[in-house]
Amino acid sequence: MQKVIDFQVPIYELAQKYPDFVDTMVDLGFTKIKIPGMLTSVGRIVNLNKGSRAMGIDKDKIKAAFEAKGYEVINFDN
Amino acid sequence: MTTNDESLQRQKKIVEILNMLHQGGDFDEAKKIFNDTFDSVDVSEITSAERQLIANGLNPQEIKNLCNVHAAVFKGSISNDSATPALQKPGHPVATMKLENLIISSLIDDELLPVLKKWQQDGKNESYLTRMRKALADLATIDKHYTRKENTLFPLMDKYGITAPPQVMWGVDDKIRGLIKHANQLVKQDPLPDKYEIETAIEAACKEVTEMIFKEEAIMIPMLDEVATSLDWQMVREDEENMEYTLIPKPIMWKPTTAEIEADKNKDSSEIAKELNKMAQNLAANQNLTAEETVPYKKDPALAAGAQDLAQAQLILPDLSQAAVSFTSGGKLSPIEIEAILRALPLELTFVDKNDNVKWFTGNPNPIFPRTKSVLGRSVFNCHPPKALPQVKKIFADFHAGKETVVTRWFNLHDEKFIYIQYMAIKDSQGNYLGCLESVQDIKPLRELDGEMRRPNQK
Repeated sequence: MQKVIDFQVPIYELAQKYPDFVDTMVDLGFTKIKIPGMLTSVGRIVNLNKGSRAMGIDKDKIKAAFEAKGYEVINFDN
Repeated sequence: MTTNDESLQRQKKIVEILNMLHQGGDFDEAKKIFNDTFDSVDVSEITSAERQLIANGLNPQEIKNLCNVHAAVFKGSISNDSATPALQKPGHPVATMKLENLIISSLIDDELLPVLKKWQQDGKNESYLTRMRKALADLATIDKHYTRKENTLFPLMDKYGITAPPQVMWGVDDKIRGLIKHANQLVKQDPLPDKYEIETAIEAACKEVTEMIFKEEAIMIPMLDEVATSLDWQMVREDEENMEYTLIPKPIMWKPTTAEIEADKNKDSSEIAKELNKMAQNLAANQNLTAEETVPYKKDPALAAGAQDLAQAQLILPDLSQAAVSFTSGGKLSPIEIEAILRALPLELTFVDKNDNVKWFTGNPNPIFPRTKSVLGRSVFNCHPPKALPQVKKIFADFHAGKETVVTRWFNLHDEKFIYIQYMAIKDSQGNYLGCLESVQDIKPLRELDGEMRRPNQK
């Protein structure tokens, strides 16, 4: 089944769905995702569109990283 | 054309509406009365009404507080079809945060950054530099906005088990304070530093402030909206009474309506709220917390047991004025005397219980460090910015272990006060640890004492 990264879905849900999601995020610079309690609180409210802005990480970089791992990226606000 | 009598009636009605709002009445109700009574209203009618209120004893300063309400009620800027959500009502803590953010954004985008650009192109023009200095001084007052966030909103998140995000955000708040301070210092230096250095510092501060506004409004507030109740927000608003605001006049005293409070009871807990509460319970059950993790609220088991006993027997206390605490020194004080004496001390006291939760504070008006009702019951570790955490943890660890009994700190605060802080381990007569007492004092007046004064007017 095709793996999909929807930029509008809360990060917490993506982490639940894809086992390699968190590590990919950490590599991209989303260091806070590993702090206990962050994913289950902020992660339920924040999606990749909001999160990239909040952490100052280039959305194109995020898209490229997930596509390189075989994901389809959708709802990427431009 | 309205007769004098009609004008008087209209004016009376406007005064009535304004008065109602001033007393903390419901915004939607005021809007309804207005809509039922008037088709349109003249600005001059409002001005007359205001004058009437002042004549009846309303402090002219208070009129400023009603200004944003006037705009909403009388100019119909809020839609008339549905009830205004509580979070948008003037005086609601969230509406206030957003209003401040609006002003701060404007300060940055409409004044500071454009003037910075002009100054870079025309450095000889002193007026640009003056404006930059003023704008940066104004920007520095964002400290009040952050302080309110840290002392009223973070404890609210803490209450619902959202402990990590406040810690992270507090660190960034402090970073921003540092950036703004740095920019302020640079523009006041003599000789003035390199233009590029000033530009970099100002732009860095502005960018971080703007990003923080985004995080507050896109993440923090929606997250709070999932879990906080109307009564929570009421407590936050009441806590604001002792605090200050950034670049806006003091908002009106918003209170939730009975309908809003009722609605909370029937509200189906959202999935997120349920999950967060479950998480909080799990954290509380887990006793083995590493130094890196934040600490959840632990209920005092002794208190829980007591609650069951009271269900069977009624404790009847005499009239409050008769009740007294008997001290080992032999003296007795009534509760009213105890509170008055504690308030009169030239010290601000805070007591953290043996479970490291904030239990009590004096409640001085205009304290040196803010104390809000929201922090009562919260873990002391969650009431400090991340930078201070290692030191705070060490102090409490040493007190619990009996290694230390007093820790003292002193420092200059803004050149206005000289702060002397003591942390004291409090024990009962058997030496059991009861908690930690923090005493905060401004000793600047003491340090300035000269000579002697045994009698008044002595040289």
